[in-house]
Amino acid sequence: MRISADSLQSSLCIKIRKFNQQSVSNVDKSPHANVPSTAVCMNCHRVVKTDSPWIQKLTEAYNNNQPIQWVNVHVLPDFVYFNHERHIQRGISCDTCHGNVAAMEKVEQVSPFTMGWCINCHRQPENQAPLNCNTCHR
Amino acid sequence: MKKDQIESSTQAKRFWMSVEESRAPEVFEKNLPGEFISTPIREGEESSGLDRRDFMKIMGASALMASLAGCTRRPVQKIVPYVNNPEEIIPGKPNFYASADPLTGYGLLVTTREGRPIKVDGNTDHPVNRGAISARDQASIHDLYDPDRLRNPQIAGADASWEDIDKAAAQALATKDGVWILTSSILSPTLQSVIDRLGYRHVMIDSLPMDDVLEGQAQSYGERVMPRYRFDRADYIVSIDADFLDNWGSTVEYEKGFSEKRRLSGNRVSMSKLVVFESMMRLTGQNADRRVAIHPADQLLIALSIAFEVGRIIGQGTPGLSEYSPANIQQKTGVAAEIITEVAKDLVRYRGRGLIVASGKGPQAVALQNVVNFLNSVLDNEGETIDGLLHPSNQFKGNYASFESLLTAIRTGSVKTLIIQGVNPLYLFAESMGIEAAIKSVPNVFYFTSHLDETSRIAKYVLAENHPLESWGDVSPIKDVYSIVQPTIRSLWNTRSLLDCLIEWSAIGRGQKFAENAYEAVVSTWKGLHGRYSSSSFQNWWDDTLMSGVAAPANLNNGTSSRRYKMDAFRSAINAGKSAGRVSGDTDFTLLLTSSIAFGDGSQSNNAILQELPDPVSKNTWGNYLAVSESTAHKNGWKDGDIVKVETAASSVEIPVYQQPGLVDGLVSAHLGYGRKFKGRIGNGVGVSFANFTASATSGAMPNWLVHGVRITKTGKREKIPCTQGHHRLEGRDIVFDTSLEEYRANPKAGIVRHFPNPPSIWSEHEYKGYKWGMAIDLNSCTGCSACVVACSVENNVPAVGKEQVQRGREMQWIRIDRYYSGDAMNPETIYQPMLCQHCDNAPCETVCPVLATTHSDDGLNQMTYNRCVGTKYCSNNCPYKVRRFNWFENNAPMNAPMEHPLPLMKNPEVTLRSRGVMEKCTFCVQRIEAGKSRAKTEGRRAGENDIRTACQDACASDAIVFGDLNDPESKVAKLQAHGRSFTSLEELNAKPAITYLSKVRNRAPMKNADHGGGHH
Repeated sequence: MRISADSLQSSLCIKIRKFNQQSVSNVDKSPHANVPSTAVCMNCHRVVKTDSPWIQKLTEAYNNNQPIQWVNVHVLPDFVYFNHERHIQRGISCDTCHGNVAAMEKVEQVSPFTMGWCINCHRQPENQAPLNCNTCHR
Repeated sequence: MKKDQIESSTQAKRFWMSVEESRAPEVFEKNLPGEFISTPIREGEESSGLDRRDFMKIMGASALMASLAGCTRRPVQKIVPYVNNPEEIIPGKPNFYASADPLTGYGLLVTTREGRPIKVDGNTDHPVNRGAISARDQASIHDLYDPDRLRNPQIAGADASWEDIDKAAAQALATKDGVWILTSSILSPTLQSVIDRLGYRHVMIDSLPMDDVLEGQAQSYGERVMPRYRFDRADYIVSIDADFLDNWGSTVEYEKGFSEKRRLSGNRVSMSKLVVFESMMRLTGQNADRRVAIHPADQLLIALSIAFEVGRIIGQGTPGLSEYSPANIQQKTGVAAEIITEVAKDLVRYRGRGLIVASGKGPQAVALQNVVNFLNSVLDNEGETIDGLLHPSNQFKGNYASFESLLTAIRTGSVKTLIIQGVNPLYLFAESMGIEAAIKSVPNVFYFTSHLDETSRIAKYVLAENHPLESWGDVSPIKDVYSIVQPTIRSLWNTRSLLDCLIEWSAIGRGQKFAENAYEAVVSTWKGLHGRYSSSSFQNWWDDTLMSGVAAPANLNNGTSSRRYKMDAFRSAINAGKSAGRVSGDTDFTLLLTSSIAFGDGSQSNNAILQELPDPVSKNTWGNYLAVSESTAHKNGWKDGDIVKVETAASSVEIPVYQQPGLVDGLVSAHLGYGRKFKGRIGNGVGVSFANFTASATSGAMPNWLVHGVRITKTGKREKIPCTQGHHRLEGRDIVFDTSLEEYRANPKAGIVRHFPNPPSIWSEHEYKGYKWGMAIDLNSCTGCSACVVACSVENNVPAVGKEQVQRGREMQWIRIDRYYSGDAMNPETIYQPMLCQHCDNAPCETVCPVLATTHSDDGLNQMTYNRCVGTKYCSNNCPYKVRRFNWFENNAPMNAPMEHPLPLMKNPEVTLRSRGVMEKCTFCVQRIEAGKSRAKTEGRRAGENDIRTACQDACASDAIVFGDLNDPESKVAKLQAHGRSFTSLEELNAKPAITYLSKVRNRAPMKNADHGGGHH
């Protein structure tokens, strides 16, 4: 697989979900999906694939104490308060909204992320999801 | 029926809100501008040029991001994770840290998000403030992020490095001779021990002095100590101008204890009684069961008269006291003899359970304390409700006499180096005191300050000071109670605390520092305390205490003590009484200076949220005013807003007049803390400073707050006072109720008038299957202190809008405290009613919104969706409670400009920043509801009372506000809503609010019908 910053991001999304069987994205604990700290990457990449120019870049940034700036692909407006924790706790998998990120060479948005799209799911009776404005807007 | 007929037939008791209204309601109504009529003006059109409103915008935050995100072409946003994630931080989740306030010693709980503090509350585990803090403490978070803060130390006006400062200190402090340190009261055992070890001469002064209490205690009992007043034990309280619910002493602690003794929840039918002799109408008088308006010069006479009567009843006369018989005093002061007799009788009846407090003004202040101490001792209250021995307060240690010795030392040239912290002498003292020349004559002045201010201009070394949330330290508010002050953010700027510096400088001449840094110094103090509090290892105890926030003995609030009263103190007070009283033939005015709850000594005057917090009594914002009695105003032809010139031989200022009920004629009053010349862009030039009036031949260095011989003349100029009260009239409708304790005992529903109980509805009822959020607010507990208003603004990113906008009635606060007067127009009774969105079941706002921006949730919330709102303001027009707020401007940031650094850090990320053209209002802290519900759901249970508390509820020191789930019959709120005193405001409109109020009960005889403003039919 060709290595690019984007594809690195793709594979990360999965890896960060369950790293050592433990979520490092805190997606089950926090409203926000956290991008893990560079230190977490370095746990393996100190020894794994150190010849890759991307990993070398990562290592350099880590050694210089510089954070990696990831491009935010799934952008919601500031007045929307989406809660990852609730959806994960409900057993909704990542790919329901984000698609099969593992197969993406470059991460892209597969769902419209519009209010109508959110509501479509929320109003299915079997989902028992709230339909209050305050659920997302406050 | 004509309108006036309707009004007279529906009014049980006429409440009024301002003096003009009480005199001639019809005229007042005609002159009153429409509540919501405000001329549309464009931004930048205002006359005052740049201006406060632009600064207001600076003090807010950016809605820019939100508007950009709505566009089709989004800018690329970056996610920047940590390089090394701090163990305890989960982005998106708040962390809570226990800390303490170095000035009051109260325990704090600081909420942080991603490493930045966003909210400060009281620590519920702290035995002194028990979870509450004052409005000023609530607002202190905004001081931390104030862009006007001093960012670097300065030498002679130019930025310098700390190394330069340290070098200068090494020279100045080479010998400890001639080194003086001037501070406010120091509550920190570590800082105190460092100062002691350094051997500098140390002077403490309080800008809101308690010297009279301290001196009185010294003369009466031998030790200069600030007692711990136990309002939580007092069943009968007499206050002579001691404004203990507002700004006198440890107010939050007092308010907490006071409200506990007055809570009529469940089946309780007894409450304490408060009688207040008061000059300027303040919160304590407004909360009194009986308020007696007095002239401040008469304080001592009244106290002596009570002492005479008490002595007579218990058969213990004191020679020389007979001339203060109630009949004589009535003649001299106008205070009715039967009031004194009744108070004395009650004091004897509540022997050992009573409490008399006083705050002296003028030369007889200490004598007044001696009389009060005598009364407390003779009535066995000493040791029961006054603790001067077991756990006395450390909060006030100031001594103006020692400040005078500092001045003398400066003038004789023996002061070579002066370190100043926590005191701003050039603002505090009158120019005529010669403080400026004195300080200038000291070769080395090290001045710690957060802002460049009046004193920093003449100090050679200006030391940029840490905010308490950036510093290590410790604090002991009362004896045996200790808290650690821990930083919750690294210093935003290049700043240090006094402790940091003194530790650094302790190596000078010693070669070795006392400790590596402030943290180590605190640890070493605490190693000394360890054995008294814990048998576990020091590290365990330290970690536990850091987490819980306090080390205190288990039986702290039990126990009694007693000290022996020295009769000499009383005899000298009797003598002092001979020269007390009003100066006869004084045709000029007497000026009484007070401090306001929002503003204190003015040290937080660059805080927009406090500037815009309405004074609880007058509801005025943005500046001080001259309070005068109605008849004084009438006699002199003054109207509210007329600017008058107030002058003495030494000084003069110009200030607008405001008519305040409850003042005796001849007395005028104004707040201190205003009129800052050098503080910051928000505080400068707001109001006027009365510092120059405070110099006095008799009071020594201590600022004299009682000024006789004041001349007042009209200037012909006028100003619209930025008052928030007139904008929220109630058009004569009954929305608050009160009753007397006697009537309440006979019938818990006493006083509540229901015109149309259970009116029919044209709407079908909402069905609430899960939660149903509701609130109960006890008007009998609410003291009007307004901490909730500030807490709400901080929690919900509510902006301040500035003086001009408040004058137009466009303040944004989501919760306001309505204040209603009733009864005697000269000395009325007061009810406070916190008013916020009522989250009505039949919400009038919801039915008129053309775009469905305000809707009802299935758990009973009235939701406001900002991004859907188009700003028709129909909802606001249709709201009977007038709680909706419209963003007339971009209140958070200047148009098309980012927020000034570091203001974005201050905002609560869980609440949208509202932009121009959008309506907003109280959400019941929906972000907290959602978080609480989510937490409970993850844990597989229903959210309970401890999961969700609103910001106003957290802030309320008197626990007047209770929020919870009405669908849970066992919840506190459900029980309170079912209580006999419970009523909904404007029930006849059938809006079915989710908030019920509990009626106010006054511990006095029922009013005769004649006292009501018309009977109920």
